[in-house]
Amino acid sequence: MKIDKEKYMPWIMASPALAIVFSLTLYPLFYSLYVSTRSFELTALWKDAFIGIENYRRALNSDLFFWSSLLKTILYALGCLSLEMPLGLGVAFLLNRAIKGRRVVRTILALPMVAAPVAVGLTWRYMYHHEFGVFNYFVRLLGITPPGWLTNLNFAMISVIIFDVWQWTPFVALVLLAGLQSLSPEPYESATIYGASMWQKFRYITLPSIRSLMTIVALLRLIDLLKLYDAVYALTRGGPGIATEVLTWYLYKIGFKFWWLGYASAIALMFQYLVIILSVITIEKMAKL
Amino acid sequence: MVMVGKTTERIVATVLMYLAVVVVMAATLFPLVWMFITSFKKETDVLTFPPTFVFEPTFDNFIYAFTKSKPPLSLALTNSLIIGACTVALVVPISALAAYSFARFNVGGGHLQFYILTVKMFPAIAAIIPYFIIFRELGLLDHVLSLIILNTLFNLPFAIWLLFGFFREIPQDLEESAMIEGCSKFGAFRDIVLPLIAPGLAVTAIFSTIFTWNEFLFAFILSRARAVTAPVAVAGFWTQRGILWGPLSAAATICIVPMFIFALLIQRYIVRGLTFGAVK
Repeated sequence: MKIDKEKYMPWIMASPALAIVFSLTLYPLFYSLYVSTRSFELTALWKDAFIGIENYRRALNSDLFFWSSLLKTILYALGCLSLEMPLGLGVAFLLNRAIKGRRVVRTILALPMVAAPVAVGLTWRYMYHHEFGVFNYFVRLLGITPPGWLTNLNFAMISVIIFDVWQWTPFVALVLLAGLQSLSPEPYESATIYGASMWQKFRYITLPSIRSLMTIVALLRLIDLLKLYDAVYALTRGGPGIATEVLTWYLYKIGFKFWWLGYASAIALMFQYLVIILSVITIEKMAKL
Repeated sequence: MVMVGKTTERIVATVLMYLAVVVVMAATLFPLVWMFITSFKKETDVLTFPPTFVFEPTFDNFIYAFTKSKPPLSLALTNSLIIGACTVALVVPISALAAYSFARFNVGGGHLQFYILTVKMFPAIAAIIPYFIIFRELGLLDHVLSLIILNTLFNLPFAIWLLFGFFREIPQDLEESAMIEGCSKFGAFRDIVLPLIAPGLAVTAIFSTIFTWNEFLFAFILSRARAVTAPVAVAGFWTQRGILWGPLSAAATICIVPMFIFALLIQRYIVRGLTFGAVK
Protein backbone atom coordinates (compact mmCIF):
# COMPACT_ATOMS: atom_id res chain seq x y z
CA MET A 1 0.00 0.00 0.00
CA LYS A 2 2.77 2.38 0.93
CA ILE A 3 4.36 2.04 -2.50
CA ASP A 4 1.12 3.01 -4.23
CA LYS A 5 0.76 6.11 -2.14
CA GLU A 6 4.31 7.14 -3.06
CA LYS A 7 3.63 6.55 -6.74
CA TYR A 8 0.58 8.76 -6.85
CA MET A 9 1.98 11.38 -4.49
CA PRO A 10 2.70 13.96 -7.23
CA TRP A 11 -0.89 13.74 -8.46
CA ILE A 12 -2.19 13.92 -4.90
CA MET A 13 -0.16 17.07 -4.35
CA ALA A 14 -1.45 18.67 -7.52
CA SER A 15 -5.05 17.63 -6.96
CA PRO A 16 -6.35 20.49 -4.76
CA ALA A 17 -5.23 23.06 -7.32
CA LEU A 18 -6.50 21.00 -10.26
CA ALA A 19 -9.85 20.41 -8.55
CA ILE A 20 -10.34 24.10 -7.88
CA VAL A 21 -9.22 25.30 -11.29
CA PHE A 22 -11.14 22.72 -13.31
CA SER A 23 -14.36 22.77 -11.34
CA LEU A 24 -14.43 26.56 -11.19
CA THR A 25 -13.63 27.12 -14.85
CA LEU A 26 -15.19 24.24 -16.79
CA TYR A 27 -18.58 24.30 -15.12
CA PRO A 28 -19.06 28.07 -15.56
CA LEU A 29 -17.77 27.77 -19.13
CA PHE A 30 -20.41 25.21 -20.04
CA TYR A 31 -22.97 27.16 -18.08
CA SER A 32 -22.13 30.27 -20.14
CA LEU A 33 -22.43 28.26 -23.30
CA TYR A 34 -25.88 27.12 -22.18
CA VAL A 35 -27.04 30.59 -21.15
CA SER A 36 -25.71 32.06 -24.38
CA THR A 37 -28.22 30.00 -26.37
CA ARG A 38 -31.14 31.42 -24.43
CA SER A 39 -32.97 34.72 -24.33
CA PHE A 40 -32.20 34.94 -20.63
CA GLU A 41 -32.94 38.31 -19.02
CA LEU A 42 -32.80 38.66 -15.26
CA THR A 43 -35.55 41.26 -15.18
CA ALA A 44 -37.79 39.38 -17.60
CA LEU A 45 -37.47 35.73 -16.67
CA TRP A 46 -40.70 34.74 -18.44
CA LYS A 47 -38.94 35.37 -21.73
CA ASP A 48 -36.29 32.72 -21.03
CA ALA A 49 -36.32 30.30 -23.96
CA PHE A 50 -33.91 28.41 -26.18
CA ILE A 51 -33.00 30.50 -29.22
CA GLY A 52 -29.92 28.68 -30.56
CA ILE A 53 -27.25 30.87 -32.03
CA GLU A 54 -29.52 33.90 -32.26
CA ASN A 55 -27.52 35.82 -29.61
CA TYR A 56 -24.32 35.31 -31.57
CA ARG A 57 -25.98 36.30 -34.82
CA ARG A 58 -27.43 39.38 -33.21
CA ALA A 59 -24.01 40.51 -31.98
CA LEU A 60 -22.17 39.85 -35.21
CA ASN A 61 -24.83 40.91 -37.69
CA SER A 62 -26.91 43.66 -36.26
CA ASP A 63 -25.41 45.13 -33.12
CA LEU A 64 -23.57 48.30 -34.09
CA PHE A 65 -22.76 49.05 -30.43
CA PHE A 66 -20.92 45.74 -30.19
CA TRP A 67 -18.79 46.51 -33.22
CA SER A 68 -18.18 50.08 -32.09
CA SER A 69 -17.05 48.86 -28.67
CA LEU A 70 -14.75 46.29 -30.26
CA LEU A 71 -13.25 48.97 -32.49
CA LYS A 72 -12.73 51.23 -29.47
CA THR A 73 -11.06 48.43 -27.56
CA ILE A 74 -8.64 47.90 -30.45
CA LEU A 75 -7.95 51.62 -30.82
CA TYR A 76 -7.42 51.92 -27.10
CA ALA A 77 -5.06 48.95 -26.95
CA LEU A 78 -3.05 50.13 -29.95
CA GLY A 79 -2.90 53.68 -28.60
CA CYS A 80 -1.54 52.48 -25.28
CA LEU A 81 0.91 50.00 -26.80
CA SER A 82 2.33 52.46 -29.29
CA LEU A 83 3.14 54.83 -26.43
CA GLU A 84 4.08 52.39 -23.69
CA MET A 85 6.52 50.27 -25.70
CA PRO A 86 8.85 53.04 -26.95
CA LEU A 87 8.57 55.04 -23.72
CA GLY A 88 9.22 51.94 -21.63
CA LEU A 89 12.18 50.98 -23.79
CA GLY A 90 13.55 54.52 -23.47
CA VAL A 91 13.26 54.48 -19.68
CA ALA A 92 14.85 51.02 -19.57
CA PHE A 93 17.84 52.29 -21.57
CA LEU A 94 18.09 55.32 -19.36
CA LEU A 95 18.18 53.23 -16.20
CA ASN A 96 20.52 50.69 -17.74
CA ARG A 97 23.21 53.37 -17.80
CA ALA A 98 25.38 53.32 -14.73
CA ILE A 99 23.26 55.72 -12.76
CA LYS A 100 23.33 56.21 -9.02
CA GLY A 101 20.23 55.36 -7.06
CA ARG A 102 18.86 52.90 -9.62
CA ARG A 103 17.31 50.83 -6.85
CA VAL A 104 15.32 53.77 -5.54
CA VAL A 105 14.20 54.69 -9.05
CA ARG A 106 13.08 51.12 -9.71
CA THR A 107 11.08 51.04 -6.49
CA ILE A 108 9.34 54.31 -7.34
CA LEU A 109 8.49 53.01 -10.81
CA ALA A 110 6.78 50.01 -9.25
CA LEU A 111 4.38 52.15 -7.20
CA PRO A 112 1.72 52.96 -9.84
CA MET A 113 1.34 49.27 -10.68
CA VAL A 114 0.51 48.19 -7.14
CA ALA A 115 -2.02 50.97 -6.59
CA ALA A 116 -5.66 49.91 -7.00
CA PRO A 117 -6.60 51.16 -10.49
CA VAL A 118 -10.00 52.38 -9.35
CA ALA A 119 -8.54 54.39 -6.49
CA VAL A 120 -5.82 56.09 -8.55
CA GLY A 121 -8.20 56.34 -11.51
CA LEU A 122 -10.62 58.38 -9.45
CA THR A 123 -7.87 60.68 -8.24
CA TRP A 124 -6.90 61.14 -11.89
CA ARG A 125 -10.49 62.08 -12.56
CA TYR A 126 -10.00 64.90 -10.09
CA MET A 127 -6.79 65.95 -11.85
CA TYR A 128 -8.67 65.93 -15.18
CA HIS A 129 -11.52 67.98 -13.65
CA HIS A 130 -12.80 70.59 -16.09
CA GLU A 131 -12.98 73.29 -13.39
CA PHE A 132 -10.55 72.45 -10.59
CA GLY A 133 -8.19 70.03 -12.29
CA VAL A 134 -4.47 70.46 -11.82
CA PHE A 135 -3.86 69.39 -15.43
CA ASN A 136 -5.79 72.42 -16.63
CA TYR A 137 -3.47 74.52 -14.48
CA PHE A 138 -0.30 72.99 -15.96
CA VAL A 139 -1.55 73.22 -19.53
CA ARG A 140 -2.51 76.87 -19.01
CA LEU A 141 0.99 77.56 -17.67
CA LEU A 142 2.28 76.40 -21.04
CA GLY A 143 -0.12 78.79 -22.70
CA ILE A 144 -2.38 76.10 -24.17
CA THR A 145 -6.15 76.05 -23.87
CA PRO A 146 -6.98 72.83 -22.00
CA PRO A 147 -8.93 70.21 -23.92
CA GLY A 148 -12.08 68.88 -22.27
CA TRP A 149 -10.06 66.01 -20.84
CA LEU A 150 -12.97 63.73 -20.06
CA THR A 151 -15.82 65.75 -21.52
CA ASN A 152 -14.66 66.13 -25.11
CA LEU A 153 -15.95 63.35 -27.35
CA ASN A 154 -12.63 63.01 -29.15
CA PHE A 155 -10.30 63.65 -26.27
CA ALA A 156 -11.81 61.39 -23.59
CA MET A 157 -10.22 58.27 -25.06
CA ILE A 158 -6.83 59.99 -25.16
CA SER A 159 -7.21 60.86 -21.48
CA VAL A 160 -7.92 57.23 -20.60
CA ILE A 161 -4.87 56.22 -22.65
CA ILE A 162 -2.68 58.76 -20.82
CA PHE A 163 -3.77 57.25 -17.51
CA ASP A 164 -2.85 53.73 -18.64
CA VAL A 165 0.48 54.98 -19.98
CA TRP A 166 1.19 56.45 -16.56
CA GLN A 167 0.24 53.29 -14.72
CA TRP A 168 1.80 50.65 -16.98
CA THR A 169 4.79 52.14 -18.83
CA PRO A 170 6.84 51.34 -15.69
CA PHE A 171 5.97 47.65 -16.18
CA VAL A 172 7.39 47.71 -19.71
CA ALA A 173 10.43 49.65 -18.48
CA LEU A 174 11.18 47.36 -15.54
CA VAL A 175 10.85 44.12 -17.51
CA LEU A 176 12.99 45.41 -20.38
CA LEU A 177 15.52 46.77 -17.89
CA ALA A 178 15.78 43.29 -16.39
CA GLY A 179 16.34 42.00 -19.91
CA LEU A 180 19.02 44.59 -20.70
CA GLN A 181 20.86 43.91 -17.47
CA SER A 182 21.08 40.22 -18.21
CA LEU A 183 22.88 40.83 -21.53
CA SER A 184 26.54 39.89 -21.51
CA PRO A 185 28.97 42.79 -22.13
CA GLU A 186 31.26 40.85 -24.47
CA PRO A 187 29.52 41.48 -27.83
CA TYR A 188 29.52 45.20 -27.02
CA GLU A 189 33.22 45.16 -26.20
CA SER A 190 34.18 43.53 -29.46
CA ALA A 191 31.80 45.82 -31.38
CA THR A 192 33.57 48.80 -29.82
CA ILE A 193 36.93 47.40 -30.94
CA TYR A 194 35.62 47.15 -34.50
CA GLY A 195 34.39 50.73 -34.28
CA ALA A 196 30.64 50.17 -34.24
CA SER A 197 28.51 53.23 -33.59
CA MET A 198 25.95 53.48 -30.78
CA TRP A 199 23.13 53.00 -33.28
CA GLN A 200 24.77 49.92 -34.81
CA LYS A 201 25.24 48.38 -31.38
CA PHE A 202 21.60 49.02 -30.58
CA ARG A 203 20.35 47.79 -33.94
CA TYR A 204 22.51 44.67 -34.29
CA ILE A 205 23.20 43.57 -30.71
CA THR A 206 20.66 44.94 -28.24
CA LEU A 207 17.50 44.78 -30.31
CA PRO A 208 17.88 41.17 -31.50
CA SER A 209 18.71 40.00 -27.98
CA ILE A 210 15.69 41.56 -26.32
CA ARG A 211 13.26 41.13 -29.20
CA SER A 212 11.54 38.05 -27.78
CA LEU A 213 11.22 39.73 -24.39
CA MET A 214 9.69 42.79 -26.07
CA THR A 215 7.16 40.58 -27.82
CA ILE A 216 6.18 38.97 -24.53
CA VAL A 217 5.84 42.32 -22.79
CA ALA A 218 3.72 43.65 -25.63
CA LEU A 219 1.49 40.55 -25.58
CA LEU A 220 1.05 40.69 -21.80
CA ARG A 221 0.14 44.35 -22.08
CA LEU A 222 -2.22 43.67 -24.98
CA ILE A 223 -4.10 41.02 -23.00
CA ASP A 224 -4.41 43.36 -20.04
CA LEU A 225 -5.54 46.22 -22.26
CA LEU A 226 -8.29 44.14 -23.83
CA LYS A 227 -9.46 43.23 -20.32
CA LEU A 228 -9.33 46.79 -19.01
CA TYR A 229 -12.36 47.78 -16.99
CA ASP A 230 -11.36 49.60 -13.81
CA ALA A 231 -9.81 52.63 -15.51
CA VAL A 232 -12.85 53.23 -17.69
CA TYR A 233 -15.12 52.83 -14.68
CA ALA A 234 -13.13 55.38 -12.68
CA LEU A 235 -12.48 57.90 -15.42
CA THR A 236 -15.42 58.02 -17.80
CA ARG A 237 -17.97 55.23 -17.23
CA GLY A 238 -17.96 54.79 -20.97
CA GLY A 239 -18.80 58.43 -21.64
CA PRO A 240 -19.21 61.06 -22.82
CA GLY A 241 -21.99 59.39 -24.79
CA ILE A 242 -20.35 56.14 -25.85
CA ALA A 243 -16.97 57.75 -26.64
CA THR A 244 -15.01 55.43 -24.35
CA GLU A 245 -17.39 52.48 -24.37
CA VAL A 246 -14.87 49.67 -24.82
CA LEU A 247 -15.95 46.03 -25.08
CA THR A 248 -15.66 45.36 -21.35
CA TRP A 249 -17.81 48.35 -20.55
CA TYR A 250 -20.38 47.34 -23.15
CA LEU A 251 -20.48 43.86 -21.63
CA TYR A 252 -20.97 45.35 -18.20
CA LYS A 253 -23.79 47.51 -19.50
CA ILE A 254 -25.76 44.83 -21.27
CA GLY A 255 -25.08 42.24 -18.57
CA PHE A 256 -25.40 44.18 -15.34
CA LYS A 257 -27.40 47.28 -16.23
CA PHE A 258 -29.84 45.86 -18.79
CA TRP A 259 -29.57 42.35 -17.28
CA TRP A 260 -29.53 40.70 -20.72
CA LEU A 261 -27.40 37.88 -19.38
CA GLY A 262 -28.04 35.49 -22.28
CA TYR A 263 -26.91 38.00 -24.85
CA ALA A 264 -24.01 39.13 -22.66
CA SER A 265 -22.85 35.50 -22.30
CA ALA A 266 -22.64 35.11 -26.05
CA ILE A 267 -20.46 38.21 -26.42
CA ALA A 268 -18.44 37.26 -23.34
CA LEU A 269 -17.63 33.83 -24.76
CA MET A 270 -16.45 35.23 -28.07
CA PHE A 271 -14.36 37.78 -26.21
CA GLN A 272 -12.97 35.11 -23.91
CA TYR A 273 -11.88 32.94 -26.84
CA LEU A 274 -10.11 35.87 -28.46
CA VAL A 275 -8.18 36.54 -25.26
CA ILE A 276 -7.43 32.84 -24.74
CA ILE A 277 -5.90 32.59 -28.21
CA LEU A 278 -3.65 35.54 -27.40
CA SER A 279 -2.81 34.00 -24.02
CA VAL A 280 -1.79 30.70 -25.58
CA ILE A 281 0.59 32.50 -27.94
CA THR A 282 2.01 34.49 -25.02
CA ILE A 283 2.50 31.52 -22.72
CA GLU A 284 4.21 29.54 -25.46
CA LYS A 285 6.66 32.37 -25.97
CA MET A 286 7.22 32.71 -22.22
CA ALA A 287 7.90 29.01 -21.87
CA LYS A 288 10.61 29.30 -24.55
CA LEU A 289 12.29 32.25 -22.87
CA MET B 1 41.50 70.99 -26.64
CA VAL B 2 39.86 67.88 -28.01
CA MET B 3 40.11 66.30 -24.57
CA VAL B 4 38.36 69.28 -22.97
CA GLY B 5 35.62 69.08 -25.59
CA LYS B 6 35.10 65.39 -24.86
CA THR B 7 34.89 65.96 -21.11
CA THR B 8 32.37 68.79 -21.47
CA GLU B 9 30.34 66.62 -23.79
CA ARG B 10 30.35 63.83 -21.25
CA ILE B 11 29.30 66.15 -18.44
CA VAL B 12 26.47 67.55 -20.52
CA ALA B 13 25.35 64.03 -21.42
CA THR B 14 25.39 62.97 -17.77
CA VAL B 15 23.43 66.03 -16.68
CA LEU B 16 20.85 65.43 -19.41
CA MET B 17 20.58 61.80 -18.38
CA TYR B 18 19.89 62.63 -14.74
CA LEU B 19 17.50 65.34 -15.83
CA ALA B 20 15.55 62.74 -17.80
CA VAL B 21 15.50 60.44 -14.77
CA VAL B 22 14.15 63.29 -12.64
CA VAL B 23 11.42 64.00 -15.19
CA VAL B 24 10.38 60.34 -15.26
CA MET B 25 10.31 60.20 -11.46
CA ALA B 26 8.29 63.42 -11.21
CA ALA B 27 5.74 62.18 -13.73
CA THR B 28 5.43 58.87 -11.88
CA LEU B 29 5.09 60.37 -8.44
CA PHE B 30 3.05 63.50 -9.09
CA PRO B 31 -0.43 61.89 -9.31
CA LEU B 32 0.23 59.95 -6.11
CA VAL B 33 1.55 63.02 -4.31
CA TRP B 34 -1.42 65.04 -5.53
CA MET B 35 -3.83 62.45 -4.17
CA PHE B 36 -1.98 62.50 -0.83
CA ILE B 37 -2.02 66.31 -0.67
CA THR B 38 -5.70 66.51 -1.62
CA SER B 39 -6.63 64.16 1.19
CA PHE B 40 -5.44 66.81 3.68
CA LYS B 41 -7.22 69.75 2.04
CA LYS B 42 -10.34 71.51 3.24
CA GLU B 43 -13.23 71.46 0.82
CA THR B 44 -12.65 75.12 -0.06
CA ASP B 45 -9.05 74.26 -1.02
CA VAL B 46 -10.16 71.25 -3.06
CA LEU B 47 -12.77 73.12 -5.06
CA THR B 48 -10.70 76.06 -6.21
CA PHE B 49 -8.79 77.17 -9.28
CA PRO B 50 -5.88 77.67 -9.67
CA PRO B 51 -5.12 74.68 -7.40
CA THR B 52 -3.58 75.50 -4.03
CA PHE B 53 -0.12 74.19 -3.30
CA VAL B 54 0.19 75.81 0.11
CA PHE B 55 -2.74 75.34 2.47
CA GLU B 56 -3.72 74.60 6.05
CA PRO B 57 -3.84 70.81 6.43
CA THR B 58 -6.82 69.11 8.03
CA PHE B 59 -7.85 65.59 8.98
CA ASP B 60 -11.50 66.27 8.20
CA ASN B 61 -11.48 64.12 5.07
CA PHE B 62 -10.20 61.08 6.94
CA ILE B 63 -12.74 61.63 9.71
CA TYR B 64 -15.51 62.01 7.13
CA ALA B 65 -14.34 58.89 5.26
CA PHE B 66 -14.49 56.80 8.40
CA THR B 67 -17.65 58.16 9.96
CA LYS B 68 -20.00 59.22 7.20
CA SER B 69 -19.20 57.13 4.16
CA LYS B 70 -21.70 54.71 2.72
CA PRO B 71 -20.83 51.82 2.57
CA PRO B 72 -18.75 52.33 5.74
CA LEU B 73 -15.04 52.43 5.02
CA SER B 74 -14.21 50.46 8.17
CA LEU B 75 -16.49 47.61 7.03
CA ALA B 76 -14.84 47.64 3.60
CA LEU B 77 -11.34 47.53 5.08
CA THR B 78 -12.33 44.67 7.38
CA ASN B 79 -13.83 42.75 4.46
CA SER B 80 -10.71 43.35 2.37
CA LEU B 81 -8.56 42.06 5.22
CA ILE B 82 -10.71 38.94 5.65
CA ILE B 83 -10.85 38.23 1.93
CA GLY B 84 -7.11 38.87 1.56
CA ALA B 85 -6.12 36.70 4.51
CA CYS B 86 -8.38 33.78 3.50
CA THR B 87 -7.29 33.96 -0.13
CA VAL B 88 -3.61 33.92 0.78
CA ALA B 89 -4.15 31.12 3.30
CA LEU B 90 -5.70 29.04 0.50
CA VAL B 91 -3.52 30.10 -2.40
CA VAL B 92 -0.07 29.64 -0.87
CA PRO B 93 -0.28 26.00 0.31
CA ILE B 94 -2.39 24.81 -2.64
CA SER B 95 -0.13 26.47 -5.21
CA ALA B 96 3.04 25.29 -3.45
CA LEU B 97 1.89 21.65 -3.62
CA ALA B 98 0.87 21.97 -7.26
CA ALA B 99 3.95 23.91 -8.34
CA TYR B 100 6.20 21.32 -6.70
CA SER B 101 4.47 18.44 -8.45
CA PHE B 102 4.81 20.28 -11.77
CA ALA B 103 8.43 21.28 -11.21
CA ARG B 104 9.73 17.94 -9.95
CA PHE B 105 7.45 15.24 -11.28
CA ASN B 106 6.22 16.95 -14.43
CA VAL B 107 2.61 16.13 -13.61
CA GLY B 108 0.46 16.60 -16.69
CA GLY B 109 3.53 17.05 -18.90
CA GLY B 110 3.22 20.84 -18.92
CA HIS B 111 -0.28 20.83 -20.39
CA LEU B 112 -2.10 21.22 -17.09
CA GLN B 113 0.18 24.02 -16.06
CA PHE B 114 -0.43 25.66 -19.40
CA TYR B 115 -4.20 25.44 -19.05
CA ILE B 116 -4.01 26.85 -15.54
CA LEU B 117 -2.18 29.96 -16.69
CA THR B 118 -4.80 30.74 -19.33
CA VAL B 119 -7.26 31.10 -16.44
CA LYS B 120 -5.25 34.07 -15.19
CA MET B 121 -5.83 35.73 -18.53
CA PHE B 122 -9.63 35.31 -18.61
CA PRO B 123 -11.22 38.74 -18.96
CA ALA B 124 -12.90 39.29 -15.59
CA ILE B 125 -16.03 40.91 -17.04
CA ALA B 126 -16.61 37.92 -19.32
CA ALA B 127 -15.89 35.38 -16.57
CA ILE B 128 -18.13 37.04 -14.01
CA ILE B 129 -21.42 36.47 -15.87
CA PRO B 130 -21.79 32.74 -15.14
CA TYR B 131 -20.38 33.18 -11.63
CA PHE B 132 -22.94 35.87 -10.96
CA ILE B 133 -25.81 33.61 -12.00
CA ILE B 134 -24.43 30.65 -10.04
CA PHE B 135 -23.70 32.65 -6.86
CA ARG B 136 -27.15 34.20 -7.12
CA GLU B 137 -28.74 30.76 -7.16
CA LEU B 138 -26.57 29.67 -4.21
CA GLY B 139 -27.51 32.79 -2.24
CA LEU B 140 -23.88 33.88 -2.13
CA LEU B 141 -24.30 37.35 -3.60
CA ASP B 142 -22.99 40.08 -1.32
CA HIS B 143 -21.09 37.49 0.69
CA VAL B 144 -17.34 37.49 1.33
CA LEU B 145 -17.21 33.75 0.60
CA SER B 146 -17.95 34.28 -3.10
CA LEU B 147 -15.11 36.80 -3.30
CA ILE B 148 -12.71 34.48 -1.49
CA ILE B 149 -13.56 31.71 -3.98
CA LEU B 150 -13.01 33.90 -7.05
CA ASN B 151 -9.85 35.53 -5.74
CA THR B 152 -8.42 32.13 -4.89
CA LEU B 153 -9.20 30.83 -8.36
CA PHE B 154 -7.68 33.83 -10.11
CA ASN B 155 -4.56 33.98 -7.94
CA LEU B 156 -3.72 30.27 -8.15
CA PRO B 157 -2.39 30.32 -11.73
CA PHE B 158 0.03 33.13 -11.12
CA ALA B 159 1.11 31.67 -7.76
CA ILE B 160 1.74 28.25 -9.31
CA TRP B 161 3.89 29.69 -12.08
CA LEU B 162 5.85 31.94 -9.76
CA LEU B 163 6.56 29.11 -7.30
CA PHE B 164 7.36 26.76 -10.17
CA GLY B 165 10.31 29.04 -10.94
CA PHE B 166 11.42 29.07 -7.31
CA PHE B 167 11.31 25.25 -7.08
CA ARG B 168 13.28 24.93 -10.28
CA GLU B 169 16.12 26.96 -8.75
CA ILE B 170 16.68 24.44 -5.97
CA PRO B 171 19.14 21.67 -6.86
CA GLN B 172 17.41 18.31 -7.00
CA ASP B 173 20.28 16.41 -5.30
CA LEU B 174 19.10 17.44 -1.85
CA GLU B 175 15.76 15.68 -2.15
CA GLU B 176 17.23 12.74 -3.98
CA SER B 177 19.74 11.99 -1.24
CA ALA B 178 16.99 12.40 1.36
CA MET B 179 14.79 9.93 -0.52
CA ILE B 180 17.65 7.44 -0.81
CA GLU B 181 17.84 7.60 2.97
CA GLY B 182 14.19 6.56 3.12
CA CYS B 183 12.41 9.89 3.14
CA SER B 184 9.03 9.93 1.35
CA LYS B 185 8.28 12.32 -1.50
CA PHE B 186 6.01 14.37 0.65
CA GLY B 187 8.51 14.22 3.51
CA ALA B 188 11.28 15.54 1.27
CA PHE B 189 8.99 18.32 0.13
CA ARG B 190 7.94 19.30 3.63
CA ASP B 191 11.25 18.99 5.47
CA ILE B 192 13.84 19.88 2.85
CA VAL B 193 12.38 21.90 -0.01
CA LEU B 194 9.79 23.99 1.77
CA PRO B 195 12.22 25.70 4.17
CA LEU B 196 14.46 26.52 1.21
CA ILE B 197 11.75 28.31 -0.75
CA ALA B 198 10.39 30.24 2.25
CA PRO B 199 11.30 33.54 0.51
CA GLY B 200 9.40 32.40 -2.58
CA LEU B 201 6.35 31.62 -0.46
CA ALA B 202 6.54 35.05 1.15
CA VAL B 203 6.78 36.76 -2.24
CA THR B 204 3.82 34.74 -3.52
CA ALA B 205 1.79 35.61 -0.43
CA ILE B 206 2.52 39.31 -0.81
CA PHE B 207 1.65 39.35 -4.52
CA SER B 208 -1.61 37.52 -3.84
CA THR B 209 -2.40 40.04 -1.13
CA ILE B 210 -1.81 42.96 -3.50
CA PHE B 211 -3.87 41.44 -6.34
CA THR B 212 -6.73 40.49 -4.03
CA TRP B 213 -6.74 43.85 -2.26
CA ASN B 214 -6.81 45.77 -5.54
CA GLU B 215 -9.40 43.55 -7.24
CA PHE B 216 -12.39 45.69 -8.14
CA LEU B 217 -14.68 44.17 -10.74
CA PHE B 218 -15.71 40.98 -8.94
CA ALA B 219 -16.23 42.84 -5.68
CA PHE B 220 -18.15 45.60 -7.40
CA ILE B 221 -20.54 43.26 -9.18
CA LEU B 222 -20.96 40.65 -6.45
CA SER B 223 -21.34 42.98 -3.48
CA ARG B 224 -24.13 45.37 -2.50
CA ALA B 225 -23.74 46.44 1.14
CA ARG B 226 -22.29 43.71 3.35
CA ALA B 227 -19.36 42.38 1.30
CA VAL B 228 -17.94 45.62 -0.15
CA THR B 229 -14.14 45.82 -0.35
CA ALA B 230 -11.77 48.77 -0.05
CA PRO B 231 -11.68 49.72 -3.77
CA VAL B 232 -15.49 49.49 -3.94
CA ALA B 233 -15.76 51.78 -0.92
CA VAL B 234 -13.40 54.27 -2.59
CA ALA B 235 -15.61 54.22 -5.68
CA GLY B 236 -18.57 54.80 -3.32
CA PHE B 237 -17.47 58.41 -2.86
CA TRP B 238 -18.83 58.95 -6.36
CA THR B 239 -22.30 59.58 -4.99
CA GLN B 240 -25.64 60.51 -6.53
CA ARG B 241 -24.93 64.13 -5.70
CA GLY B 242 -21.44 64.21 -7.16
CA ILE B 243 -17.94 63.18 -6.21
CA LEU B 244 -16.63 64.03 -2.74
CA TRP B 245 -13.04 64.69 -3.79
CA GLY B 246 -11.56 65.29 -0.35
CA PRO B 247 -12.90 62.17 1.41
CA LEU B 248 -12.32 60.20 -1.80
CA SER B 249 -8.64 61.14 -1.79
CA ALA B 250 -8.40 60.21 1.89
CA ALA B 251 -9.99 56.80 1.28
CA ALA B 252 -7.84 56.23 -1.82
CA THR B 253 -4.72 57.03 0.21
CA ILE B 254 -5.75 54.53 2.88
CA CYS B 255 -6.44 51.95 0.18
CA ILE B 256 -3.17 52.46 -1.68
CA VAL B 257 -0.45 53.15 0.90
CA PRO B 258 -0.44 49.66 2.53
CA MET B 259 0.23 48.16 -0.91
CA PHE B 260 3.22 50.50 -1.32
CA ILE B 261 4.69 49.04 1.84
CA PHE B 262 4.23 45.53 0.43
CA ALA B 263 5.79 46.65 -2.86
CA LEU B 264 8.87 47.84 -0.99
CA LEU B 265 9.21 44.45 0.66
CA ILE B 266 9.18 42.58 -2.64
CA GLN B 267 10.78 45.19 -4.88
CA ARG B 268 13.45 42.73 -6.06
CA TYR B 269 10.72 40.37 -7.25
CA ILE B 270 8.28 42.80 -8.89
CA VAL B 271 9.31 42.00 -12.44
CA ARG B 272 9.34 38.31 -11.74
CA GLY B 273 5.89 38.40 -10.20
CA LEU B 274 4.27 40.45 -12.94
CA THR B 275 5.64 38.20 -15.68
CA PHE B 276 4.51 35.00 -13.90
CA GLY B 277 8.12 34.10 -13.19
CA ALA B 278 9.17 34.24 -16.87
CA VAL B 279 11.67 37.05 -16.30
CA LYS B 280 13.99 36.72 -13.33
